[in-house]
Amino acid sequence: MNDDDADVNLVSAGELDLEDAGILAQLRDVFELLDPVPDGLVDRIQLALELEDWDGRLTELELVSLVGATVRGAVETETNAPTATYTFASQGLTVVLRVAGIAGDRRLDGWVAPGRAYRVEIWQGADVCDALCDDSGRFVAAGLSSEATTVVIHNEEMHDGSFVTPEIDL
Amino acid sequence: MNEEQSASLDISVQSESLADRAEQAVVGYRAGDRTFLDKLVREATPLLWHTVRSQGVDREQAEDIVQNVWVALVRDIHAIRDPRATLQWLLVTARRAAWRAVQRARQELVRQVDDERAMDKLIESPEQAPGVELERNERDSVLWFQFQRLSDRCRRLLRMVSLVDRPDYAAVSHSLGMPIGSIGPTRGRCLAKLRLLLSADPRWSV
Repeated sequence: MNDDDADVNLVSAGELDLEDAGILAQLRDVFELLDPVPDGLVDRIQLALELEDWDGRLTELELVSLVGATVRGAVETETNAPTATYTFASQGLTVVLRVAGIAGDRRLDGWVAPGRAYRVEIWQGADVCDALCDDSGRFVAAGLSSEATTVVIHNEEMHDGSFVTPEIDL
Repeated sequence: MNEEQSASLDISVQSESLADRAEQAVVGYRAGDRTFLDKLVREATPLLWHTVRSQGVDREQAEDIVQNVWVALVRDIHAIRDPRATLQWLLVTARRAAWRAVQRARQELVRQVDDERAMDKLIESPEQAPGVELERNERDSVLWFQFQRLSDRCRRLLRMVSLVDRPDYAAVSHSLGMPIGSIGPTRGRCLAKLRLLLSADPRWSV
């Protein structure tokens, strides 16, 4: 055993003291600085758990088609704001979402069939924006930010309850 | 009745360890009360984040993994046999998912890139977000410099341990597959090595 090993053995057997606590606290601060937990992650998790909690009452819509996809992390500029049209369906309900507008002011045009005055929630992180369909099933939401978005459609007339889209990138 | 018993009867008192609060979250959720789980998500997400990142997963994928760990907990919450092991379950699930993700990413890179050195460049540092630098704080820089001389295992252990209080050290080292006593009543070898490195660095003792 060399001196270094002997030192490590000796020091490692010592009880934790204030200096250890200080080193660990400083290490935590350094990691918070170098590799912070992303903003909004906790909110997104809370939303995901809320959706999971609703599971029994909530029907997941499936993506049927996507035209003009936006890619997560793609470079967006005001002049290069992507446009996309998503079609989702499940259990006789069809939802078409058209995403357009400039960065920071994205616009969502929705159409739900069969047409009815559904109540709609647009979830972005912890922010929820409410919208209401007209009798033909159309709704509009503007001033949305470019981020992961989930749309929930509440069918208050049907026992089926609510429908949720997979996460889309605005 | 001794103090310990009276404390355990009053659940409005903040439990002393994160492991206890995780147990409380599961028991509460099963009884229809989500408040403790909401608090736990806020408190333990950084721990899961650093668990996943220290396995070498990039930041974007780490977000998905951490979220999936929580969703999996809620999905199977009624099947958890021992709620006292909830924290352990969260940490182990996160570490395994991260490990699998890293294996998949490596295989994918091997398919795409023949040159091994090019591959190293593509793997993001698990300890630092891209583009973030320490400010010119001398003590932070010295600590960071000496910390990086430790083995991978020790860096993972100390990174995780730094985020929790002493009652949870055992759960954290256990979840990393490191024996109880890696850190706990005694300092353990990883922290001992870091202290020796720091004490030998003249910039630290000033």
